[in-house]
Amino acid sequence: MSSEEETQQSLPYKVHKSTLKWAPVFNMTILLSIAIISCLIRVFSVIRYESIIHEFDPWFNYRTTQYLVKEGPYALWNWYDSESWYPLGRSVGGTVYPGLMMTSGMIYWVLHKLSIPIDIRNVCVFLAPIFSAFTSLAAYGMTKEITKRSEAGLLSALFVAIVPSYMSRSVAGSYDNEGVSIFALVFTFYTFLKTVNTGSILWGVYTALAFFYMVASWGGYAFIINIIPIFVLFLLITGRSNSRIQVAYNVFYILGTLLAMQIPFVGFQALHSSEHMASHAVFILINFLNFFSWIRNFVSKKAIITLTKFLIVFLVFSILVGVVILTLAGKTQWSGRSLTLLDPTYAKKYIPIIASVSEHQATTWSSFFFDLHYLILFSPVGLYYCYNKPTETKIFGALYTVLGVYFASVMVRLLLVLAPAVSIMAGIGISWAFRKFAKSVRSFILPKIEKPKKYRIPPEISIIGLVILGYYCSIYVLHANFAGSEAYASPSIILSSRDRQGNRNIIDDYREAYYWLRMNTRPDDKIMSWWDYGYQITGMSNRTVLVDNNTWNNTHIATVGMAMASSEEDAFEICEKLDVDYVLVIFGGILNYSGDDINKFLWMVRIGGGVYPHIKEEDYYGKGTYRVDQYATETMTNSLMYRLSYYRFDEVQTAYGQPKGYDTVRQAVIGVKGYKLRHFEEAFTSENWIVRIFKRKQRENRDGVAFTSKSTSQFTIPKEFSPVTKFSKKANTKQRSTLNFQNNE
Amino acid sequence: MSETKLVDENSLIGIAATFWQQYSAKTPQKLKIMDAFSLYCFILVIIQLFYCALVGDFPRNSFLSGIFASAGALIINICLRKQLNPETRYMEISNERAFWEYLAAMVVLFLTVINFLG
Repeated sequence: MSSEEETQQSLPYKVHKSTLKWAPVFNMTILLSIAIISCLIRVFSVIRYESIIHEFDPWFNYRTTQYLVKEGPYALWNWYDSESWYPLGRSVGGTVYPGLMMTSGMIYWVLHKLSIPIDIRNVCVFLAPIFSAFTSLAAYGMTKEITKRSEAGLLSALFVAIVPSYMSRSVAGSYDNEGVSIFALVFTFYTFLKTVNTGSILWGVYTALAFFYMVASWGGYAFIINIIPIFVLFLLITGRSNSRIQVAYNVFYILGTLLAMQIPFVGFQALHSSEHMASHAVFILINFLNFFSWIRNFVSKKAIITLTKFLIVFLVFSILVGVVILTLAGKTQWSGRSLTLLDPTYAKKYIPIIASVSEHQATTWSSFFFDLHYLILFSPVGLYYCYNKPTETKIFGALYTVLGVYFASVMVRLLLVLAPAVSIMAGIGISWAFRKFAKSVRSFILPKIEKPKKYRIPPEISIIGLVILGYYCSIYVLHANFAGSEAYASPSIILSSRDRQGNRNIIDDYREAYYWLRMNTRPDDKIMSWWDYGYQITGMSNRTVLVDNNTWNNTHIATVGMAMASSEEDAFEICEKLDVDYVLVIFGGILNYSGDDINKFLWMVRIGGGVYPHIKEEDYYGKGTYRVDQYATETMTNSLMYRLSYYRFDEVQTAYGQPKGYDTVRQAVIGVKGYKLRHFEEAFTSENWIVRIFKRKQRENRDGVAFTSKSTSQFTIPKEFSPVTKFSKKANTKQRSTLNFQNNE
Repeated sequence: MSETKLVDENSLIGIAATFWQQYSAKTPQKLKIMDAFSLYCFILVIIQLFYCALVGDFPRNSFLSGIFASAGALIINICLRKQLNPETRYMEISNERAFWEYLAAMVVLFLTVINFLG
């Protein structure tokens, strides 16, 4: 019996033969166009500006990829980068997730072998859109595993392709881990669900390999290694466990954990860290239960009772001993970021660096709605569908959504993990509703073969329902288009504004300043700036920086914060000890650019004050609030950040009708004007004063009897910059074993 | 009537004895060979743990790769056995195909172990 006859027999009305024959072709065509759409919607910024790497983190990934392509993969494994975190350096091979760089390197290598000479920058810029196309295909596969219906898969693929939350991290130019790892996440789930459905060991092997790719790409693999054991445990408790689940989990666990240990950044943590404990516990549990149920086949009934008692006692005892004692003895530790996920207030109290990153804040409703739009409305429908007639895969889909919602509420950044779940659930929900409506319309229009037994929705209501759902879907597509073109298509390194005639004015200060650094400083000059700009400086100017976005050493960042917050004399002493040649500050007072260093200054004070107690946050508040005008405190106006940002600012008129020296962001006239800098001289200020670079002057002659304030004489910078302080211990356990102290003079 | 039993049937030793007798009677020869191999892998794990407790696990890479090789072989064996045993088979594929999948998993396992040996 051909497949067409099978399909015909399963339907209660007569369908034209050509429809049945062409259905798979429609399927493939729609899927292909969805993949193309997901690529196209992400290239707005390339069309508007140019093909450039965006933001901050991608610059480091880009620099690493350049190194990989030039030197080869073995050099990357062993690379010790001495251009960042001066004087400590950073062991890149052991502290980076290599999946992204290896992927681009592989694509670049293949293309060059085929004699297609694409520059590495273009490979990096366009990698994320291509992988988003793959993600939509994987979402199609995953939904098909959950519901066995291809129309639900198509809707899910469409939703995933254009959901704004995923788009924000994978536009062309955002060369970051998430661009590749969301594909790995959905693909791992797809292969796992396939293994659960078929029970084949081969698909388990594919799951482990997909999981290996996920571990190589992103730290978020901890989500997978926890959700799958929770899922297996849930099935065990509700009595739905069977051989297929056990085989799937066993193969995935053994191969997956072993493969995870191959990545140097993960290494032995795959066994010790608390993020993996759930997988170990569930593995031991289900194999134990398996073994005992196998023995039961061979012994008598009374013996089973004895055995069961023995088993329960043994299990409880071993779990108590194992987990509790290990945690108390400190052998297993939660990393600071994972603890923040469980207790969102943890980071604010103990680790200010994690609390200060804007991506780690709790999510607001407006972010939810802007990033997920109508999918939030329809995913409960999909959840209900999964709950209605649950099979294992449907339970997995529901579990993924629920856990995703929790984590997305804790951190804005994790809204990204929820996006595929919500898209899939919404696709399932809408396609279920569509199917019900379409059935009633079809049975009304087409000649029937058999009598309809069940209650059908009246066709008028179905038509209204179809129109409304179609309208919502089109609004979603329009919103996604808007989000992609207006909200998420700006490379933060190039800004643009419109003047009153509507002409666009490009503000390219960042690149201007970094290029000046590249051309006008010696190759071994050291730049001090806040950690946000570290990656960009090393990437574009190719100069050594003190701290960068990796933020692994809290003490070093606190030292830079102390330097920025101290008076000019003290800061000069600190800079001399750290061999700093140039200081770079970002100032937005002329252009009303609110992402500048004066706005971030309080975080510098807090982080510095966390390690050096003589810096107190209250000293920088004048009249109870943070201000820069005449009521600002002396500590504030004497600080290096204030002095450098507002140097010669009183010569500029920024707004019509305001006196000179009016700061448009803080909306006040600055308090202290007309001062001179003693130890620093202005080296470069960009066109709109956004980036200001100051050179540290040499110590004046006959300066030996100079007065140094109490603060630097009492508190000296530690001789070796130990990465483990009592504050950073919890946050930095991961990097402890991979640090190499080398002197880079 | 009832004979006197030498060993109490419900003590652990009695259970073990009953188990051994039933097991030898019920399982086919091929499955017994697989079980012998699984038992061998399990004993290997125990021996390695014992050795580690004695001497310490200095090249931790090698220790872990040894444990994972034997434990992994054990687990994948159990998965294959479930499929091959006619009472508990869960997939409608031929025995040869099940064996081929088993081989694929073993290949991935041992390639990774060799990479990890250091």
